[in-house]
Amino acid sequence: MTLEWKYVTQALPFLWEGTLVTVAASVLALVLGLLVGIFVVLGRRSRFKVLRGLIIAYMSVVRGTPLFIQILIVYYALPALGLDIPRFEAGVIALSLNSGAYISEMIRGGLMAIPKGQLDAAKACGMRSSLIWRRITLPQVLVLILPPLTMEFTGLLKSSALLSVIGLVELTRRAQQVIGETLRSPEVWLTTAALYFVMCFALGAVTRRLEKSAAAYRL
Amino acid sequence: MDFSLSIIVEAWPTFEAGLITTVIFCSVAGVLGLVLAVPIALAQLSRSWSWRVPAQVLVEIVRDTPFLVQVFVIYFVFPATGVPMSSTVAGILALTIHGAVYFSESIRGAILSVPRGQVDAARAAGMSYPLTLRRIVFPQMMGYVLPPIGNQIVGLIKDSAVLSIISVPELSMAFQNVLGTTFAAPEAFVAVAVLYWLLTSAVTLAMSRLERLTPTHRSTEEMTSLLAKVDR
Amino acid sequence: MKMNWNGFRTTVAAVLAVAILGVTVAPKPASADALDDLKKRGKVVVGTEAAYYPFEFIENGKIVGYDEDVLNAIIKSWGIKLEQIDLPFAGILPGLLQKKFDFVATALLVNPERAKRYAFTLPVAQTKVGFLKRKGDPKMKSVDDLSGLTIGSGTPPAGPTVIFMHYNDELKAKGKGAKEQKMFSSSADYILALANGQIDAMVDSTPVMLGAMKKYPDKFEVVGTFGEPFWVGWVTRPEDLGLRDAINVEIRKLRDSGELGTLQKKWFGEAMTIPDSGYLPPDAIK
Repeated sequence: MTLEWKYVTQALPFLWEGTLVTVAASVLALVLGLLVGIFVVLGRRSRFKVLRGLIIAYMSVVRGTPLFIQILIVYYALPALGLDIPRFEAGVIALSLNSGAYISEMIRGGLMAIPKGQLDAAKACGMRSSLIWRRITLPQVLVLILPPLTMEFTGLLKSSALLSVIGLVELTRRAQQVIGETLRSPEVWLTTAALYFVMCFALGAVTRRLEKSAAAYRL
Repeated sequence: MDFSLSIIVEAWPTFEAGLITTVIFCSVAGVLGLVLAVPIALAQLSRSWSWRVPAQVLVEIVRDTPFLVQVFVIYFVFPATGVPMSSTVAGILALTIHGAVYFSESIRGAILSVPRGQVDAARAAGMSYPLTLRRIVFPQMMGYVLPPIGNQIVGLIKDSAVLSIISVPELSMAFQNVLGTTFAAPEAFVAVAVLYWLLTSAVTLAMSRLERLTPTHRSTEEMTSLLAKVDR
Repeated sequence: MKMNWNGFRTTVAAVLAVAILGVTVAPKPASADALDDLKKRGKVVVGTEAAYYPFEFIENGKIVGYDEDVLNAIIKSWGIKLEQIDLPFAGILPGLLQKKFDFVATALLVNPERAKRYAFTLPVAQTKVGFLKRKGDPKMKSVDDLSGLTIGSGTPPAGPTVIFMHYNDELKAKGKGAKEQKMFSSSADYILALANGQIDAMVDSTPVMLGAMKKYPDKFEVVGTFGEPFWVGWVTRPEDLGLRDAINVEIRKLRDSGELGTLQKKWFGEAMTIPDSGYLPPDAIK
């Protein structure tokens, strides 16, 4: 069997539409994941034991089980609890719950990098702790975690391929659909891999730039 | 909805077979990946571009495409170009390459964490490059390399769940079969999640035990006495 | 991630508590008359695995195929909008039970296990299950002897897969069972695995085998079929018998007007006789 590229030229516009869905799902998951991450960091410092316990369980389950299974659970098992979530939303929720656990670790790392002196100074000036968090801590942490966050976005672009298992028509699912019709696959898979590669490679370059400028950003 | 353990008990032989396959695939790919990761890391650190460039290309390709797509490419593209590829070989190959690249990143970082001065000192003292690696670099980097490698082994186990898509009968395939035959019992979801979680937690636990037994950087005194023993 | 035994035990307890709490919450009750609800809603949501040429597949981004033509005729007669969800097969039946869609319009073989849990419509087609191999490959000689062979199929609960597993058990008892069964998530994947030589033969219903032969001329040949013919139908949730009966009314109309036969000729090359009764196994949801 030789590679026949005519299947690819035919399929390219179709795959491109899937790429847009991949990007949209990943962007949404990153934003929601960031919110989840912030919530987790705050929750870990909470006075409520139950909340802390739930967060520990959440972190452990998310990091200890495959995303593949997590996606299936959000889409197929949650409806049994009366939580019926449409496909796109289910996919984004699964991705952001997964991502949130890792982002919370980045935020924790970022928090540790903020000199304690700044917080003491703010307290001495009479700032309330919520204000300190909003004005001093959060803005600096966000800048610090920008490079790992871009890397996480690359990770999301890649892991969103798994949303094909719940039939979300993103890039990988589109590739499967093209194959379902043409029954030719090598050409389609190579093209799909190339599309992911271009996106992730470009983001990798952005990450390296951000790392440089973040290193220049001294606290 | 009732939660009935009997469904899990009945399906246990299926789960068990899948779990064993997952463990075998991850162990084989983990070991092969670690072995391959060292040359990849060294090639990336090499001064010669003829080593650096191919290693860098491999690393970028693996890091910038989804594992799922890599699995499809290996399983469906290789045979089309004349390379025979069973799902077992394809699965282990995909996991191994994936693991090797991520392991190599940690190993590279750990090698760089060994103070450059020590390497220079060893070389100046007449140690060959391989000997320097074996005596100076590798023993010291262990403490730095184990924590990320532990996380990556956990990652490998989680990624292996994707292999069901090319018909590897691992744990998530077992889960899908149970789902199919029990008509989507929620118990199956709980069982598969708990099994993966126990497996990854066991690895995490074992790795943190191992970390405690591993020394990190040597002191200057240790270095001096070590270098004193070098045959000139 | 660092962990010690104490932390490990606490986490085990927390995870198990959440897991068990999670699945013991009661589901929401089902509605009484599904079709009336659909008409009020103005749209129906249908689940399909559009990767089963020629029954249903994607062409230029649209779902097409035999079932799709039948479905469109029914929806047109109802005068409501159709929203179709294309899912990998493994998600089709769970998705129905979880109310992701109102019914399933994808080729489903009527078998006893299924018929006990889902309400089958009138059949839309009849098919046999058989084996496809690479043309001229001497490894597989007859459907009665699978020894030493690797057989590719869909993942359960795919109809042909379930039938094959029963059949293979019978052969095993005679020492002629398959060496290995490889399961894939879609028919395209095992057709390709067969083309690539990664499996020795694949098992599926006749229209799918003929479809693969059409896409790859001169590449495959049918070894033969086994067992009795199977009815192919769609399903609703067991409590939605009103909706199921409404679908049956439309299928019967299409059959009697001859439209169903025309579509069968178009997609399968031959017309089939669709019965009014007797297509369901004994313990089925009637």
